[in-house]
Amino acid sequence: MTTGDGLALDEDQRALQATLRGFLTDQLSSAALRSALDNETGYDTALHARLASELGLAGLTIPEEFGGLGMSQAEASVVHTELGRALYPGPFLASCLATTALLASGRREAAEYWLPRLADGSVTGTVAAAGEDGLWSAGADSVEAGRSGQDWYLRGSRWYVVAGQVANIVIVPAVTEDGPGLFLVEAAAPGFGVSRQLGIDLTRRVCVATFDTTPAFLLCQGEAAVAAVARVEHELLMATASEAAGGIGWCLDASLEYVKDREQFGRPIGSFQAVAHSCVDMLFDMQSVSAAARYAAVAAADGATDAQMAARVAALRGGEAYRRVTETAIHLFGGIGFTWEHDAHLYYRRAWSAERLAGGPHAHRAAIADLAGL
Amino acid sequence: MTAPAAPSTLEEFLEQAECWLAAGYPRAADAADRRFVWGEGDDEVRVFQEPDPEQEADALPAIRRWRQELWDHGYGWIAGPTEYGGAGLPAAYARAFERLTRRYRVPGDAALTVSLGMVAPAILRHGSQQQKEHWLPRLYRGEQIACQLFSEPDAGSDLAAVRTQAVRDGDSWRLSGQKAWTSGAHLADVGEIICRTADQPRHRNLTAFLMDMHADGVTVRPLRQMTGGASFNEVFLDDVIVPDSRRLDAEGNGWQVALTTLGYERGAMGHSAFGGAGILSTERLIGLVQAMGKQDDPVIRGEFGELLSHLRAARYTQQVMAAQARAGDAPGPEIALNKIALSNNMKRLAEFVAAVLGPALIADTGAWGTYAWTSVVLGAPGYRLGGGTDEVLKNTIAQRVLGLPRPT
Repeated sequence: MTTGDGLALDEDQRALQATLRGFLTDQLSSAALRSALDNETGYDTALHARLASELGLAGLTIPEEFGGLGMSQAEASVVHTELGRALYPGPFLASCLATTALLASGRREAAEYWLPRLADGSVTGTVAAAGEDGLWSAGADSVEAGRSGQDWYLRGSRWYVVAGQVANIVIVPAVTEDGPGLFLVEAAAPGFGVSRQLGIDLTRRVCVATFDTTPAFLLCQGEAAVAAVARVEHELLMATASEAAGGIGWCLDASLEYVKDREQFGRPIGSFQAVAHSCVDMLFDMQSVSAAARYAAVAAADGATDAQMAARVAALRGGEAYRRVTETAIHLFGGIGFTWEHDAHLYYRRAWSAERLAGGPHAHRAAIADLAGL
Repeated sequence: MTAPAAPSTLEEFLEQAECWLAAGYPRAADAADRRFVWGEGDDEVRVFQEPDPEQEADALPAIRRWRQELWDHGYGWIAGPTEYGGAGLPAAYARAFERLTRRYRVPGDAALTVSLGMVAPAILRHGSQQQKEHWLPRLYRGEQIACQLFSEPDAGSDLAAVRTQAVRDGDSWRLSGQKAWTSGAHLADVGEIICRTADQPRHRNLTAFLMDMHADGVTVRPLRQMTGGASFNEVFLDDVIVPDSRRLDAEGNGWQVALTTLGYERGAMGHSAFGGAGILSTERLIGLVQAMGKQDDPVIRGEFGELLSHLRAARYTQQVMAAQARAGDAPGPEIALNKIALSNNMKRLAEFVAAVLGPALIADTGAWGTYAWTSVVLGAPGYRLGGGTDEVLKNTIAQRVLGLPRPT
């Protein structure tokens, strides 16, 4: 169990948080965010390159021997929170997941080749693990792996692939004759295709990835593949919970500013108890989700026995709270909050999509019951 | 008290402490043995501390002896300032010692929660030099037990409306009125009481005293609550004489004293461990589901996952807040969010056990560990009221944390 002082942000983590928040506030105004959404990639590639190089985000959790900064999930949580607060649309999360998969696979030659490229931002990665039902499982039958001589190839499809439109490498669980396997596919490989899915979340694109006898590199097989996919899923749960904490923080701050300023019946609407209590409920959600995300990250970094449980708790509570808070924010902004021009709906959309991408509440509840030993 | 021979490191301090504990107290069973086992022992589920008055009174001498022993060996107030008898060590030493004592069978401090968790810190903050020197050692060594006398029949959420009057009479004050919802008044030697000492202005017309609970004119009666038990008392004051030397802080500063004390109370409530065998224990809830044969019911499993996520999230929040406080970033009034989480979770717990137990919740079948949960259903509404109603706490947080304007 994690009970240490590491649960509070240390000085370096506070500095990271402040730097990132300052940078994104300056560089990613609402107008800048919206203009990037309509381009081919769905984000500003120049800004992404600056985040990767100037702030070192691309290599944040990549070990130093592979050219990264070698930081832990505790620092990653700070970054996900700030990116979530800004609805940053670049492929940071996707590359983090690919990094985790490469490290977890234990395939050193692949790590040596790809991690330095992910760390310097020259390569973007993602993980394509969900079937059409959205569920992750190493044994999912939507992609099959076959061999011809020494060479592996994949056939099938994966859905809801985050940043599929820009990924240079895609990590894919697939079924082999001998059970589950984990593969790496280069986007340039023959027979690989991505098509954008029409999606509710305007700041995070998802794609269908198709593999038509696409050459693939085997990372690991059997138990190792199952464990690697579980590691990646654990990472996804923690990341979305941190992003939720960040988004909730934006909703709270923006709502407070508005209800203190907006007057009706001759007084600020924040002086009405019903409005004030809604704001306190948002503060409650922010504290609770931030704490759960933080606890989960520190537990994972420490290798604590309750790390899995904490990640599920953070994802479940974060998912539900984020949806509730964005709905409250839209309500507090009144009619203006329901317009396309107001940013509130971008957060509302993210909240709904993030909760589903991370497996959804039913899966989390069932997993918590299992982990508790019921 | 005799300070332990100035240990320089935490390790040395703990080593000395463990030697002392091991010499005088039996080791508790291993953690594994202390786990909840379904069907073993008492199946009582307690939401409020409602001890049998006789057993409670019988346990008191042992608690006082334990505090005296602690005091004599330098562990009575580890993080307290040396000028008032504390050991003057960092708070981390006190926490480490507290964890260490859990490994030994020592008399608990539950009866002293108000004494040491609320009244002593209020005296440290608001008392005169002479009062601190007099009261703090007596409270920490268990010689005196304190309660707090704030709420009244007509002053609940609106605490500043207290009517109990204190009228000056030479070097003394004469107190008359009625207090309600006083925990532990029947055990207490001294009561931190808030009285009205002037008509106006509101919030500046209150004064705090440390009243002798054994003085003439003080009558304590148990207050029976809807659970059937009695955790609280009504206290009647009929012309009770209190010397001016027992006035806490200046005349008219009672509201500040009350806020300090309540701040400690709300912090303590969120951390409430509950009496009995830990009704929020995961093992106990799993035992219940399995005993009712519902472990394969996917709806119950889902509800269990939902409940557990709320309980864990509340715990993580407290732990993160505690870590932030240790890092020098102590929470302000938002600490009361922990109490709101607790009252919400009590309600969720009641709903969950109702789903699992069905009719066995409302009428006793005689099966171990079933009807006992009724006390959660009956106790849950009290949690929304105790320590400040959820609504009043939200008003405070809205104004003092979020900076929202006061309702007009």
